[in-house]
Amino acid sequence: MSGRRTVYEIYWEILVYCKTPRGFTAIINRCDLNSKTGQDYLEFLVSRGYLETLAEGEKTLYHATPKAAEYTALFSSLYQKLFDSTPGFRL
Amino acid sequence: MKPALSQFQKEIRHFSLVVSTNLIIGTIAIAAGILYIIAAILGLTTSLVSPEFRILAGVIAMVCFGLGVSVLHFTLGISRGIRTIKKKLDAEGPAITDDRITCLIVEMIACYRDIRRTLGTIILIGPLCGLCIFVLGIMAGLEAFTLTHGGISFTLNNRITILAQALTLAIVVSSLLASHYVTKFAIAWNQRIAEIETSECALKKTLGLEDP
Repeated sequence: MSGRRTVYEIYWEILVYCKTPRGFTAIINRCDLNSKTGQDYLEFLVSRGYLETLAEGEKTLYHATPKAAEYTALFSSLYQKLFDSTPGFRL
Repeated sequence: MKPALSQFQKEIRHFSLVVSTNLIIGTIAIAAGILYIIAAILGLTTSLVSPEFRILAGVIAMVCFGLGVSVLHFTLGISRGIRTIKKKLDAEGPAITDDRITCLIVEMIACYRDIRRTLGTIILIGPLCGLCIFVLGIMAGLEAFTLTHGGISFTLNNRITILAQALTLAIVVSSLLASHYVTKFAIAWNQRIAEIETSECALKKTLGLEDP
């Protein structure tokens, strides 16, 4: 996904994508991030306990922890709620 | 179907329709502009009553052409993102997951942030474009035109021209309607962006990023 996103949207995207363990390159490609910012986001999520690292041979995989579910659920409910209260758009 | 998904689908579908209308108006403006530039400057039309009128029609035709190119250019820029989201949304079956719905909503919000300024331009130039087409239609249909102290009198040449002018009037109305719906869309999405900014506090709190 590209376009202007907030950090919270990027965190959500990473956490949802990492529901199954993913490598660094796959994450930055999927979330359209550069290596530097991608590394910063992943380090933040790991430090807060939203992601855990798994070693697979020489590769490091990132996996969302159960704690991440709280954030992704809240995010989803907030974003989907936007379509409950806003005035309709009809032709 | 989830209410959020149904509303989201409806909005994307309607907005795509409005974008398509703008594309058609832009294309017609370009075609009309070229046609009238050739007709007015080279004097190929007999309907224009005087050389001054031909020059005026030529100038309006150039403006119309320019506006048409702008409308087409800006609308194409907008439509790329919207069409991609619409395609993804249409490809999803009824078993679409919550995460996927949110993902498409986030994508749409990111897209809206990119096109926000362009929408403002389109709201302005779309109706101007329609108006130019209408004025050109009127000018091409004039058989006689008199400007006196008492007022303006003009004669339109035949029924076919009047029909053509009704068509240009329909284009003006379409461009005004398109602009109106783009405005409604922009208002709704601006409200959503504002709501997101408010709800960021809750997300910040969950992530433990609250200010001390």
